[in-house]
Amino acid sequence: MPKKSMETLTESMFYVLLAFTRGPLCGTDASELIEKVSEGRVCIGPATLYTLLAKFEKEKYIKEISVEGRRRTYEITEKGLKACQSELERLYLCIKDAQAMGLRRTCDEER
Amino acid sequence: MKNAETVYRLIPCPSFDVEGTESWLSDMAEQGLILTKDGLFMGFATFEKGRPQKIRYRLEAAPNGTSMWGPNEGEPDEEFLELSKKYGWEYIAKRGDFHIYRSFSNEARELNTDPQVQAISLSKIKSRLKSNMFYFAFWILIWPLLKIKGALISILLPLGFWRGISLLGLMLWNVLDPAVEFFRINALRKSLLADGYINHKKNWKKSRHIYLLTHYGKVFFTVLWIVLFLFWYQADTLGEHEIPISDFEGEAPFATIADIYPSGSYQNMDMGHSNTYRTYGDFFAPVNYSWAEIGNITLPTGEYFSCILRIEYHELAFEWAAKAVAQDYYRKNTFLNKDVNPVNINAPEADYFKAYSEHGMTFFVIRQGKKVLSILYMPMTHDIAPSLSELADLFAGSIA
Repeated sequence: MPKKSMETLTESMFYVLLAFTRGPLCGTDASELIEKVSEGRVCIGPATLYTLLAKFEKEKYIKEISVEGRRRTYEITEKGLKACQSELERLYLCIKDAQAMGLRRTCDEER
Repeated sequence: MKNAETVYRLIPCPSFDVEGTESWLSDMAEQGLILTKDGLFMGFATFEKGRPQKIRYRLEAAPNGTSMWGPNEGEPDEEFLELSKKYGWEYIAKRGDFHIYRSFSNEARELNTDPQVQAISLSKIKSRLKSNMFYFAFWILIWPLLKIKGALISILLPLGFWRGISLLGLMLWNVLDPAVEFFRINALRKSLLADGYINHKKNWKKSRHIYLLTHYGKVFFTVLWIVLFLFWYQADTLGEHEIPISDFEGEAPFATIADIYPSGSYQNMDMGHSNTYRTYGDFFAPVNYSWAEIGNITLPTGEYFSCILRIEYHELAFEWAAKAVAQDYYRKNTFLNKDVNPVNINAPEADYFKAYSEHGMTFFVIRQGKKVLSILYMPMTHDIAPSLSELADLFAGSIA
């Protein structure tokens, strides 16, 4: 059965939702937090971030809680939190299955 | 301080060609032509001459469109402007359904870093284009066809074959354009979902000539057609094509009032209007008359008859066209018309015959081979008015 939209989150989607699990944020703060947490590995483009904020708001994963000038602050909803947790669970299962099949991370093999 | 020299260029690709537009603008920058703010308008791009440099241009789907009557007058959201500026991107212009940004820095992260998310942004445009497609198809094609009850050929005959065909062509073109845009955006969206790749170095020169030819060809023909149509409409409204029946020489190719009682003395009645005819023709319909007559006949016995006759006569080059025109005339006057009643008379010898009445007037539609007659007949006196069967025989016989 084909997956519905947003059923599996891309890396960008996951990290944006993940950022909001820390508390209410505006777009710029979310982007900076993601870059910091991922140690520069995940750099979300401004258009990608902006599209995701609009999409998540529409899907009720986040909701706008305040507007100060141009800055809009959002917080994650129960639905968004569940989606994030569901994706986290899926990723853990991927790792578990990979390990069960004998696949190791490159850095583990080098040790 | 000397102002930079301004250079104008025709935009060589359609507004929905994201890859082509980005590549072209970047190539222009490498030649030292830098797009000016809001520098895209009516198919022209305005550049400032500067030093050749590498500039990345990116088209970003406008979430609410770019119309000045839309939200925020079609300009990007302030929050996004600030966000993009923070990451080294400057908003420069808009075109079609896209906002255009540029970055002078090679180090600036891309505007879009997730192709699946970029595909989501294109979905919004796709929905808008889908609505446009149906909107254009309905108002340009379907509604006019419904309005004329499908009587396309008979409506277009007075325009002439080439004007009629070019009108239909322009209408179809204006319906197909949004459809092409819709399918191209959808194809780009699918490509993003499949490959995750946009070609920022597309060879825009490859299809440049075809695009310019089709785009400006359409503009030219649309303007030309409108101008020609206005001239034609003005002449038609002022009655410049109308000729008094009294000036008609020879014999009409169909029966007229005088033929109803040939032994009588005919006189047309000047009511301040009518008693005119118009004739036109081309290879598709070589002979056509639009005949409006009010006349009377005084018989040798002193009896008097008068009536109104409005006739549309066509000789078509093809029998299939004549069949279509005859059916058009019948359908456009009778379809969904509650005031029309069938007239039960003996049909004359004809390839096609219909008779019906409406508000005291009788209508005949007759076809003999490639000739078609559409007649409105209204007697003004009834004492010696011929029967409808006799009239039907007369008109059918006159074009046999």
